[in-house]
Amino acid sequence: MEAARFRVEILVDPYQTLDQFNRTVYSFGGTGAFGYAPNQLANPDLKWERTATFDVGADFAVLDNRISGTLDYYRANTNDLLMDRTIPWSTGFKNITQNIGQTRNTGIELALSAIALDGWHGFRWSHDITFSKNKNQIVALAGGVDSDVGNLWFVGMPINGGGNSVYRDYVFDGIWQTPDSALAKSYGRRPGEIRIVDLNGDGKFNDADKTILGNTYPKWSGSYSTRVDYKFLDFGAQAITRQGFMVRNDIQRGNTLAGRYNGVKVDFWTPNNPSNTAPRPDKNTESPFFSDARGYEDGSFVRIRNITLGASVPERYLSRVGAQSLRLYVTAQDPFLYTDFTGIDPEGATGKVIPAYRSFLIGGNFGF
Amino acid sequence: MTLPMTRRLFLPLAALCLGGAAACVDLTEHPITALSSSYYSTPIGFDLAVNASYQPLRNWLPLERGSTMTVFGTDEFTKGADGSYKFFNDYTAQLNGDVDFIRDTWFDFYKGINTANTVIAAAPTADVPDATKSVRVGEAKFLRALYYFWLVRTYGDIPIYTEPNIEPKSETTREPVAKVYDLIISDLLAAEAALPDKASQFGRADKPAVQHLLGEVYLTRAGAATSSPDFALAAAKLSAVANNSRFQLVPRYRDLWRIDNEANSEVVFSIQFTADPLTTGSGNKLHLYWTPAYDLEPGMLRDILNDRPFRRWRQTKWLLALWDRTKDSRYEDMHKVVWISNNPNNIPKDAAGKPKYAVGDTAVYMPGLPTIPAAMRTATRYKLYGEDEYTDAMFPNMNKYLDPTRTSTNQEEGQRDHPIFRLANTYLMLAEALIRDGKVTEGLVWLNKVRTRAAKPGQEAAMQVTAADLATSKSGSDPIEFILDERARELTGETTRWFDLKRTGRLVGPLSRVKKWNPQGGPNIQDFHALRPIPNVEINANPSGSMKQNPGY
Repeated sequence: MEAARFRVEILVDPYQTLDQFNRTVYSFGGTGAFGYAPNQLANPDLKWERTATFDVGADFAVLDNRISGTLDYYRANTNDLLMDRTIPWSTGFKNITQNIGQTRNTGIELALSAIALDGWHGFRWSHDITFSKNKNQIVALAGGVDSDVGNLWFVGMPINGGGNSVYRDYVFDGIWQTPDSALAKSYGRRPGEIRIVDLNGDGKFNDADKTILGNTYPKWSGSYSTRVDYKFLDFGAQAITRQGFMVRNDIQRGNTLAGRYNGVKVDFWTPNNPSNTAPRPDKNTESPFFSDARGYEDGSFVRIRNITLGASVPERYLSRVGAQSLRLYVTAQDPFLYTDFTGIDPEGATGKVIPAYRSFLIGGNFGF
Repeated sequence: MTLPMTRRLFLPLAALCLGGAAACVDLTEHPITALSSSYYSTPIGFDLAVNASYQPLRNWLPLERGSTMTVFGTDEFTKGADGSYKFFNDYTAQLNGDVDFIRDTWFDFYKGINTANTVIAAAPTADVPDATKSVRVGEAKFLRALYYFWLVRTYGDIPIYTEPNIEPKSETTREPVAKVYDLIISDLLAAEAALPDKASQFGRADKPAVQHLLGEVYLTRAGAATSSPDFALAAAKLSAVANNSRFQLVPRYRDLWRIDNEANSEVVFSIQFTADPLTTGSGNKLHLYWTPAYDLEPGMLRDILNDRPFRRWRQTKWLLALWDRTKDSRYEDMHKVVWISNNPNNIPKDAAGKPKYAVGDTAVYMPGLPTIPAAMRTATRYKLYGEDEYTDAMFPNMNKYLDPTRTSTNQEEGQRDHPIFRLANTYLMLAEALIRDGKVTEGLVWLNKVRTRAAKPGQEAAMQVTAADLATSKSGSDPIEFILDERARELTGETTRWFDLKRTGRLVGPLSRVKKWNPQGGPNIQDFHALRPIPNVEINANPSGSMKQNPGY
């Protein structure tokens, strides 16, 4: 058993406490007139962000170390969390870095290793499994409030920012169909357009109909890897997974169906094809109404990260070429992805960007 | 066995803190190179803050953002084929507080107001000669008033700040429109007293610019009222500009739009641009939006001279029929209707297989006829468009903003100044203030000056209007209708129409000209559209709910 407690303090940038300016460009009668406009508020009250972490873990090994592992539990309490907070834009500033409150990260991490075969007919076969589960939540917000809609911070929910997002948007409710024309019209909509849920039932679609749809924090993640050695051959494979998190499919959201830009092929609505997934093409709306309601998807995935097969050439064949060692191998990097996500890659390429490559390598390591 | 993720994150940070123990303990630092607000009291710093106060001018009207919010969805222009903001024309539910144009307009002007406030607050301690100081504060007050004037007409009740913000606020409240006007007018009166008749540099605010704006502010405050003390106040300020010997109408309307004539005798105030990429910023982009898809026509390809065809705004039928083209030169002066072939590869061929014309010959012509007679078409080698053949992509090209000095075909940054206060507009507002104040004869003098300049040679007398003409415009018997018609004829596309319709009660309601003459926006526009939505980002950044959305959105 081991237990540890430590504290980390962070201050983002030594100049963050000062007001800052941005350079502006104008001209008078053809002569340049550069300027400096206030661009960041002074922030003399900025304090250190403090994180106190408590970690308790157990290392264990049984069956003559054939099975070993580590189990960790941690709880990290962060006080005076530093984050950019949106402030009313009418102040002339969009946001300010502030100590916005307290958050807590709790989680467990488990790592298991097992040697299934250890020299049986020349075979060695091992497994490694990791599992982690983390919960991030806001414990308190500065000023004692429970929610800050502008920043999507709500006590009891995970923090929006710092690489993770909380999504608040309209709830996609399919496509307006012809039999619902009258109801659609009451909302100023037409059949074939994206339908959203009128959450507060006021007969209008506006900001009040947005709700928290999810966030990018996975419920759990894990990995599995295995390795087999037999005489001069070795084989290894690794799979990773992340489960229960939301991603935003920006290809879906940016699919304009206006006939001007390329888009992905979808089953779009027409009067004769009452699709309930994609709206009617319309040259007059380069961004379909409530396009933002689309594309929030479960990003859960399992990915085969790596498969490698290698062969070491025995030393006796190498002396002639003067080498000490030679290993030839073939590797497949990211060869398979299993997911319901309809974009390119839930692990990164959620929009029109270059996804992780699926690469295949043939190589050799020489030692001289 | 690798470390679990969280520990990997924390250990190096802990090590960093221990390793650089000094950094953890002693944070006292005295930065001397970074700017801080006291810098604005130095002579250079003060000047830089003034320059920075002008910058937001470039971010609105000369870009798609501001022109969409003033040109589109009016009686003059409806939607062309392209563009992502057609809902500003159509007044559909997509026009809401999430739209970036709505949000960015709000922010840019409030940022400009904060910068102007910084100038005004720094002035008392600024190490600058008093005479310069008072002029610069006058400029800052003019700009602050102008930004509030654009904001209050766009959004209605709005937050007011007269001091620079130096600490974060999380509560803002909307002040009534009347209070915003009080501030605008007191700022402009102070600027009028402080500024010289002619600024030290072209493009800086001076007294006539302030007076023109004050005139428009008073007229706007009067609204659609039949009588108001604001009419006389407006007339006083506008006549000061109209009678100022610095300004003269340019003799020929077409010369106003020559790109080598940007500092002409009619410019009261213009948003400044240069031909130098270093100082022109995002440039004047208005040249893009009125240009039709000429590059898809036979014998044509896209080039610098003919500009880049964004085809955002198309003339309404009402606008095209507005000029009496036999007497009035303005339709012809402001429209490009001929395209000269510049592409040998797609010139149509005759029955013998020979090209019908050569590069340099006319490829497309819009003679302005309702319909092209069949005989004329068969007798013509090039392509003809009748007014009944105009499409969302192909229509006469309003040429006021074309910029053939750009260095590449697709360059968006243009160098043209954007004249937002022009003497003809001063005359028309002065005429309006006088006529609506019952001084019809006096008002007609100014109206007729504008019309005389617009007359084709020999038609000057025929262009004169009388009190009787004012009441018999085909748009209606109220003189406001004739005045709005004349403004459309003279100021077509000059990024003011939406506000003109709004202030005269002709945007929404029973007299809405959008309803009458904008076929796409007309069926949808409702009373609440006289205000734009408040940006949701502003509403949501007020946790207590003190910012409310405008009704209808």
